[in-house]
Amino acid sequence: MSKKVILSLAIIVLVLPIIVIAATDGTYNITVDNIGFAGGEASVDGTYNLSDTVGTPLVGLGTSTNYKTQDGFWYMVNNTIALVLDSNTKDLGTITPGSPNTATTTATVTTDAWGGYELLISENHSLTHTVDGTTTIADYAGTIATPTAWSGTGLGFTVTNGSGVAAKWGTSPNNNYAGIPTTDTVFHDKGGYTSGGDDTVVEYKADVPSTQKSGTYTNTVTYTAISKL
Amino acid sequence: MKLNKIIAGTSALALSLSMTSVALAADAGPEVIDFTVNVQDTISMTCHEHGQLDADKSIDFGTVTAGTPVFGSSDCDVTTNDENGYYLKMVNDNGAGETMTDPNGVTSDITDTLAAFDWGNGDGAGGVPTLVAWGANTGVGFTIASAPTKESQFGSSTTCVDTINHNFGGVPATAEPIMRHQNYSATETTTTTCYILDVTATQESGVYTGSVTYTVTSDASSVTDIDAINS
Repeated sequence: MSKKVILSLAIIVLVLPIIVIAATDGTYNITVDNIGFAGGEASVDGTYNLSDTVGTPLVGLGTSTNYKTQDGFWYMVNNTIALVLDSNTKDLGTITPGSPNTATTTATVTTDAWGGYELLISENHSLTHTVDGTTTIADYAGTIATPTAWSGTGLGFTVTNGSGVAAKWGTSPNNNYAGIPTTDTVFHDKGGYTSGGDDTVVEYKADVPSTQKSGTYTNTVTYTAISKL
Repeated sequence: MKLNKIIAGTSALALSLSMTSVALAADAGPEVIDFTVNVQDTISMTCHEHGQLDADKSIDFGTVTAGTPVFGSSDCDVTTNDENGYYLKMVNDNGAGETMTDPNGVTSDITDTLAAFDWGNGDGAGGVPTLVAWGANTGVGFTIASAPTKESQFGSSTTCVDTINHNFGGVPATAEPIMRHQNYSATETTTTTCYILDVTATQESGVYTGSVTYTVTSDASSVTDIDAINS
């Protein structure tokens, strides 16, 4: 191998930093690790705060058909996100079989993420009879992937208002509904930066068959917001 | 290669030209909502002659000869989603002690010799009163052949034409529970009531009629439905 080739490889190794994101072994967690060719000390001058990084001599964006490199200083953007619900309890009232009841939740997300955010929803289990612990009100048959116009029974939800509500949810009064899954699932994708809180209104609808055992049913629904970058 | 440590802030222009970014998605939550919903109990009932259509609400005892009782029966079909079931009440529409009367008011009514059935406090919660075999009683008596929950005091027979294995009571003068089912049933449940009629040798011949009214009440919130049987 010629000296020129060896030198080229060495330069590549030195110049290209290696990024390891979210490395964890259960004990330690490295959120972002930049293994560059040198290191630096935290520097503060009252205006800027540069933590433990060093620049690569080549600055800029390199692209080809299949690859893209970003060269230069590395810094981490710590975007923030907060989720607030209008209430942590929801009483759907008393359902007479065949006459569905509705209720709403307003989820307010505040984030500085330039890409927006996603809202996820899940339930711990179907609505379950509080006395016998086994009888359930089935989840509505529609899915988040393919919500359907209300028909039948169960507990379902739709998105009635918000930024960038997907067309699949329909519009009032012709909304489409989905059952609430038991695993966190994205149901709303809001793109782009928004200054201040962004509201998403979720409507729940519940109906039961005439044979549904009377009594009180409960479950817990969980919302999570994830920023998009 | 010469490495230069660049101190941030020394040149804003230099930093803006040279920095690239790494960012991680952040998440918020989970935020939870505790859901509660109450399912209303509903109830409906249709009473009709045993084994006949819903519209068949008349029972014809036929012709009774003193000392040889005749029988009739009715079904009350109940549909309810009540988590605790329901109770079924019966009342003699002609009042105390005379289930069958002369509709023209000419002849003497048929007197029921059995004491009117009385389950106590109105919802079947008390003990079931003692019932007796028919024996030589006259007038009208009733018993239960089958029900989602049948009290043992009514006897063991499941067919109506049976004076040996049934115990009878007089048709109550006020609405009184005769059956209490304390469990949820996903499907229709039926109570079959048997009627027995005999007369004394001196009972004036003729046509006599009567009616009993059934009321079903759900256990949880006292939703009711009502229907009547004529004879």
